[in-house]
Amino acid sequence: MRGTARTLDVTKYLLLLVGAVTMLTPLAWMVLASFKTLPEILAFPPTFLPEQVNLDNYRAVFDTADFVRYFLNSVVIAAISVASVLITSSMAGYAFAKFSFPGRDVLFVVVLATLMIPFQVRVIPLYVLASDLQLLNTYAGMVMPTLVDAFGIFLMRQYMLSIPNELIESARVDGAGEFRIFVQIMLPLAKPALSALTIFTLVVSWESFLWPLLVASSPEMYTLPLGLAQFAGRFVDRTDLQMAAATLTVLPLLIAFLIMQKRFIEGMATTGMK
Amino acid sequence: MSSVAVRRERRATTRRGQRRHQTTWAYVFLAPALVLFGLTVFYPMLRALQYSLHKWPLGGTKVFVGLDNYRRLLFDDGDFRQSVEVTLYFTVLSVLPTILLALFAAVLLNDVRLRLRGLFRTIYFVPVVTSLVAVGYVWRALLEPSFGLVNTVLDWFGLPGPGWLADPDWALDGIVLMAVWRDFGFYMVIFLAGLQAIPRDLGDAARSDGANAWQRFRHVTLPLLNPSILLAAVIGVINGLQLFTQVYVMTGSAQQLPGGPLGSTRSVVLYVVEQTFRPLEMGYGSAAAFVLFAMIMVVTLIQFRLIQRKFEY
Amino acid sequence: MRRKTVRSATTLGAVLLCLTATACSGGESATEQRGEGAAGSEGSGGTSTIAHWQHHSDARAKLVQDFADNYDGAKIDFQSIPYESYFQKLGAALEAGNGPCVFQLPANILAEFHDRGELAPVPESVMSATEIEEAFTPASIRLLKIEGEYYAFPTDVQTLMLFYNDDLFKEAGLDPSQDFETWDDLREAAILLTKVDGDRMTQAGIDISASPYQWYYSAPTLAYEDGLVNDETLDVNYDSEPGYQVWERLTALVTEDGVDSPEFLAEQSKFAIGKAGMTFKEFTFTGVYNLTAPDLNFSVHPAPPVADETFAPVASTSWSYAVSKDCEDQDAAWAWAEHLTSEESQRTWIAEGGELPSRSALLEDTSLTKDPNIAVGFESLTNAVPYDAMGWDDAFAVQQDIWDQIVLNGKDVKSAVDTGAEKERALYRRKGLIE
Repeated sequence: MRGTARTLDVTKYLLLLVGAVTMLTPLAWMVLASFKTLPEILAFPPTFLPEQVNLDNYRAVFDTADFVRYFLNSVVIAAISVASVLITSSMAGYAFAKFSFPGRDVLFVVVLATLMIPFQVRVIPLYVLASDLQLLNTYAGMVMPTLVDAFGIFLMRQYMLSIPNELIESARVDGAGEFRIFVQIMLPLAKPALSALTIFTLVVSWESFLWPLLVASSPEMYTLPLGLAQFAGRFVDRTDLQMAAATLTVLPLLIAFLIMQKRFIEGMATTGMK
Repeated sequence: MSSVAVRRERRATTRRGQRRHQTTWAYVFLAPALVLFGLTVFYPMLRALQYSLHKWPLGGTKVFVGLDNYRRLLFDDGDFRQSVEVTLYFTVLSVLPTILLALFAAVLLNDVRLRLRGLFRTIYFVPVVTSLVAVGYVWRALLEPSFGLVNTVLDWFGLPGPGWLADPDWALDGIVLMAVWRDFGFYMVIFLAGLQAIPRDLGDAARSDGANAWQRFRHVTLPLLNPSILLAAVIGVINGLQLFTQVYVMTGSAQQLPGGPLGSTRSVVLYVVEQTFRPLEMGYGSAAAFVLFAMIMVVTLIQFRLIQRKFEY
Repeated sequence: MRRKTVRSATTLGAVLLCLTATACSGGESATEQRGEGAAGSEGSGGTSTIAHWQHHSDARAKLVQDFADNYDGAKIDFQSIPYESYFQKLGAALEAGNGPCVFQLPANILAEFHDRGELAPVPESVMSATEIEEAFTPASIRLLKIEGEYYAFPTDVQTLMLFYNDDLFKEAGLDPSQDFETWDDLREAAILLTKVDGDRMTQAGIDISASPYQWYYSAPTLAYEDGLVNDETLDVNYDSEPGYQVWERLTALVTEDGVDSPEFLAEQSKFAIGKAGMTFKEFTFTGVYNLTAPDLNFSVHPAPPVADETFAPVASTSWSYAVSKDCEDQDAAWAWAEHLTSEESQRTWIAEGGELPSRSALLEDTSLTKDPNIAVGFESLTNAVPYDAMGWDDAFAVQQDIWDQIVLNGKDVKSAVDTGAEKERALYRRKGLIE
């Protein structure tokens, strides 16, 4: 019995390890490549470890681009997007999950349906609108398409459906106002969903490229992906600089996830156990 | 008798009042989302619908053409039909393994006794946040037919490696491979969040009843995880049907148009983009997007029905 | 626990409000500073602001920025946009009516933009038609003349050249200093340069299979003295005998001679890593290889005639600087476009950007052609025939499909070319160029 358990444990760790290596190889490749020269990156057969660690690429990235500024822009835009999506999604999701009102199902389907129109089709009318509203080259313009997310509403609704109605009913009987019920009962219970949504929105906002490119008309408004794109050319990609910039871009997201997963996923586990 | 009638009467009034109360508050909670939706989603969508009924050159003169764009798409356009097939194939082939792998990883990583699980979770999530430009570059190298790592590993097992992105019959599978690798961490997080909602006592109770690991998973975890699984399936299908970026970074570059070889990786959204931004004309591409919209709508409504049924008992 | 949640939710809300407020206020001031949209050019203090957009490439962006910084005629608001999104940004701006004053277009789609009513003709005061024809090479301006008027100045001229790996040539007993005289010479050399180990290729004779878009540019262009589109009727002409022959010869390198395989080092630049004896690329790749493969020993040569043995044209492509019709200060915009393509500026382009000139006068200047590869590039300009499809990526996609149908799908040349030509006609009809 003991023996089987141990074999099982070993298998489990082995599996996890193989998975981890598979997951990490491309990332490792990216980080290692950021220390290589362009000819070395393109050389064949490829090298895995750099022949010589050099920081020239990072130096060049900081020289040619105002990376700190791009980073701050990305942070501001991501913060606004995440905050707005969390608020609008949890509120709307709550309404769809826990209230009955005429037109609810139709409205929900309509909201859901908007997920199915690719952004590339909305982009031109949205741009004309942003231009009419004088929002080009502003933060308000940059965050416009990521302020509300049908997927977020969907996610929150699904999650809140699983929260028992009795909790709300008894709070109402106790005379709690609707906002208080939402903030004090629903939101804490919906934390896992909120955390997942935070990560998702963060990733989308952090990677978003086409819209910021259209709206930004001066480098002071550029975000990290726009900065990154400056290293892709018509005839030659500066893969060396791209990898350094990509590493710098990914790092904050990884840190955010590290913090997030401890705080939310683990945190939930401990509160669940009391 | 009369007191019963009064009570019934009072209950009816409260119910009516309650309904009004519910409706009002529902719309209060919906208001921020709906206002923003109206501005950034519904309005542009309606405009796009209008575009689809026109020949709409950007910056040029617009001509109303009625349903002509739709007619051409549905009856005369073999490339569009191919892109629909590509999209469906990708969706089916990527969603299923992604969800299975994610579920497996989530169950393994939900075990509190597991050491380093925070580290493993982070590692498995890494691909989700890695820059797609870098990912595309690395995966192209990994899938290179004659010397790439994937085919080299296949060769160790005596399996002949296919031409992957260079072969019209295999290119899409190469993209599926990358998509599964990249997305599964995201679904794993959804499942982990779902697993947290399952009380641990349930599993312990089953254990003391003598259920083995598989039985506990099959009869305790899986049913309770159903909402998460269906959620993941819906997201997966919607995202799969909107396949674009993965194809773009895997098959395109400044030197190469994406979607090849022979259109074997050209998804509907990529087709929409080609039809819009190459000729800088919105009408035809918008029409294609609305046909895709109708398709996804049908699929999702079916799934939505399924989910609702699961929730109703 | 709950109190904490309330507090963090409140904080979150407050942060959001703050951010939105700062965002909006920051935004307004930014808009004010920029003035009435990018296309606007107000004459504040006598100098106007000219917005200039072009697609991004390292060397070009730096040069244009330098020119802008040292330019006295106007303040230049220059933006270098990633190539893959350039047309999206341009299209969106045109629709919203806030496009740039000066922008860069492939010569091939200038007419399309003219049809939309986006472009202004070069004013007589800046350069008359005769002056333009005297100043620039014929190939670089052929697509810029619409209904008797010129609508842009030529830039980024490229000729499609053969590159030899000199070391691999010597190793195979070939002389890398010789141009090929006939197509069969090229074929034989390519076969000699190909190495196969068992059934696995280890060296390609000529790097051809990873998106050889340069071949699609040239294949139909090289077959006809006037290019692939008839100037009068705007009809595609490559579905006739010389066209079939050219497609046949180019694709046969892969399908019959096997001098390259689509699955050999797919996605890699085989030539740059020394795994291909030759490649066929834009002249600017001389600079690309110097950057990406500094140890590579290569030389540049004109391609041998593919169709008619007596006529050896060189396919070329070029871009152009056009001025928006909505630009307020037309004179300042044109003066800037002229400055970018002036003889003096082109000397800098050649020296620092690895470009070929569009000014005829520079072709005679021997001080510019000390490097033998540059000399060959200059020489090629005299035989240049522009790739004249009336489209850019859309036309190119049609021609790529012809190639792939033959090479990957085993379709016979004639039917693949016929289907392609029909598709290209359909494309032109959709653009309203032909009936």
